[in-house]
Amino acid sequence: MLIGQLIFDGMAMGLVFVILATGLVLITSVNKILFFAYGAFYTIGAYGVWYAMRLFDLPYFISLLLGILCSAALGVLSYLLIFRRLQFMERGFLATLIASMGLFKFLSQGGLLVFGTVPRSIPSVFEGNLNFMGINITSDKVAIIVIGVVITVILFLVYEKTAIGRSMRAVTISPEAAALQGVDINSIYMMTLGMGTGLAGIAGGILAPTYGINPLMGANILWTVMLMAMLGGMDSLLGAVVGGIVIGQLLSFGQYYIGGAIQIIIFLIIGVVLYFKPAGLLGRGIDIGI
Amino acid sequence: MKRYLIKGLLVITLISTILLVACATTPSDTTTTSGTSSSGPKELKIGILAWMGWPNGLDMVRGTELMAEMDNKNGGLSIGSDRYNVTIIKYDSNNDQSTAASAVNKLVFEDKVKFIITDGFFTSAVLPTTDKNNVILAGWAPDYDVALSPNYKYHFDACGFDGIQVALTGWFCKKYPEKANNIVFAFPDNQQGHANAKGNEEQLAVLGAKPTSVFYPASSQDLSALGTKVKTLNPAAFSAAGGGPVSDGLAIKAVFDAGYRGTFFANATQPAITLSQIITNEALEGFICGAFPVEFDPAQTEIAKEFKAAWIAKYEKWEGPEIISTGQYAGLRNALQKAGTLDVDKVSDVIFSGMEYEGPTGRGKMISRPDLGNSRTVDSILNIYVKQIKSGNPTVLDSISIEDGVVSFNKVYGASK
Repeated sequence: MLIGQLIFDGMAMGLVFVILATGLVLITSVNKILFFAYGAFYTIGAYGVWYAMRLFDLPYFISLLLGILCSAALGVLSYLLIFRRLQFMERGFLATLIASMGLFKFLSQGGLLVFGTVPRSIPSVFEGNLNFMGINITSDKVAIIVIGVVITVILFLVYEKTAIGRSMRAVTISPEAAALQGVDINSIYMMTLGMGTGLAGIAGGILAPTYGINPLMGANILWTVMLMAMLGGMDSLLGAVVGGIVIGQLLSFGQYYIGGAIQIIIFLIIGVVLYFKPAGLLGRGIDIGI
Repeated sequence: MKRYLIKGLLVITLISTILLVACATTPSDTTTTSGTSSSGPKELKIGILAWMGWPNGLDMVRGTELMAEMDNKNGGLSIGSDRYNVTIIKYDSNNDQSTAASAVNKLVFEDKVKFIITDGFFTSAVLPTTDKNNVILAGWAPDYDVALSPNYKYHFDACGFDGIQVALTGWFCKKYPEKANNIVFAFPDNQQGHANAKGNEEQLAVLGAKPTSVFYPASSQDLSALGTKVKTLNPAAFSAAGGGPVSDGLAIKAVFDAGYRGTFFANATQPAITLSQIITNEALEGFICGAFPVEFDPAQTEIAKEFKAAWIAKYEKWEGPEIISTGQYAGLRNALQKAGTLDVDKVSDVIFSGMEYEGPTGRGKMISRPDLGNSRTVDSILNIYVKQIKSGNPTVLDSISIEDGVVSFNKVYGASK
């Protein structure tokens, strides 16, 4: 059944984009950084898994954890070395934007030299497929959907129900007011960047067994994720979820019926949405300090 | 007072000496593979312009540098009565036209090179500069109708990229005519993909086949929709070639995962090692594709064997690097040695008179492009192998001779020398 197949494929595509988009939105809304280096952490997460499995012969899920930790740790290090000072400067947004572009270039080029030019692969963890009412359901895509849903739920619980999440939301609305209430905004910024880059690492590690790993995978995915985040709202986690799912379905159906031109149509749709709702579908239009 | 004067003079002398020594040993800010000595071989500077942030560009630079190192180790290139050590001066184009133009200006006006190799991204953009300044430029160009036209006196393409595609397509149409009449080609939806698709359709029409072209987003990893589409169309053969090993691999994977079980074919040279990183051995079984002699184990020619051994010695392992552009250095080297001089006009005369050469990508021959109004041999055909993947390893299925390649080329582009 063609429609069912396209919906299923679009859901798998969309959930991965949801994980990526939520990480980016988190960084944008809390840290007020348009984090162009985000794609590089997606790549680092994937390579982290590969290295852990190849060099230390670790099982996949342990390697995935290490890959996530690697991305998150590098994100924290980036904050400490680069963004901590820049964020508080006058015209900090522009400074952090340029710094993130430079960081992306540095990590990409460095990745090419360290990881090499050859694509890598990770043995498939979830094998097998079944045919249900004409829909070819592969185990790896089911796993992607399940993991995507679980991570999104956990993220929401952390953001909405925990003290750290409350602090993040407070810093999003007003860092000064949050600081006056005793929130250590430096720690929140650092944790958020670590969480966001960790989410990128999760996405890279989950997709690696299905799509392989190559040095340019981060650059390729960055623009799609940004579109998603813009559509849903750069300051709304729920918007990132909605944006991810919508874009996933659009890509799935669009690629089948139209081919590559679907990307033009997606741009047009986003343009129309932003014309009527500049903050995105579910964004609140919080000042990100431009 | 006298003591202070002496101390002062000593300090000044020491600082001056340090400065003089530093000036004498300051390294060049460009990378070289070899220097010159006052009594040994002379220096031949060859420039490289490539996007080194891309695997293909980086491999091209590495491959070319390695070939230069091997030549220097063998005593340098014998050109006329002199021997020359090759010095590679490389610049990164950063995938940006203005950076590429600036780099070429540096190569031409500051580094004073007379021979430049480029990866093909900005060949046409830099040709006006190189041609005007009598610099030979070796490089493929997606807009070959511009780059290989008679307007340019000093440009050639010895990597045989277009020739490979035509030769493999011709071979497939001859060997499997029924499959060639019912084949789907997938291309990335970008400039290169569309250019390849157009060229591919024209070639196949001339060779008597009927392809269907489908496009997928160039930057996408998930090509499930493409897989579903191909499964629905269910052609006799499917080909993904033109997006590079990663994109093509993902396309093949998506089509296989969707349940398609026809013939997988690629009219390009995708290394089996690279494809196997993305596609399972099960999906790759029986896959038919082009190959360079260096890909097999053992490599199929002596030059390929030496190059592979040198690569492994330098980089510790062979992981299927993209070395198609090493043909440019092989062609240039051959032309210089045959001409016996560094004079660009005499070197050009050799290149444009049907030169034959050999490199790690195999034997090649320069051919003319009458379809572009160019009777000079500015393009190339290689002796390409056809591999079939069995249990994850490339095996030689066939070899397409230069002559057979020229036959297919002539059918598509008109009678070439």
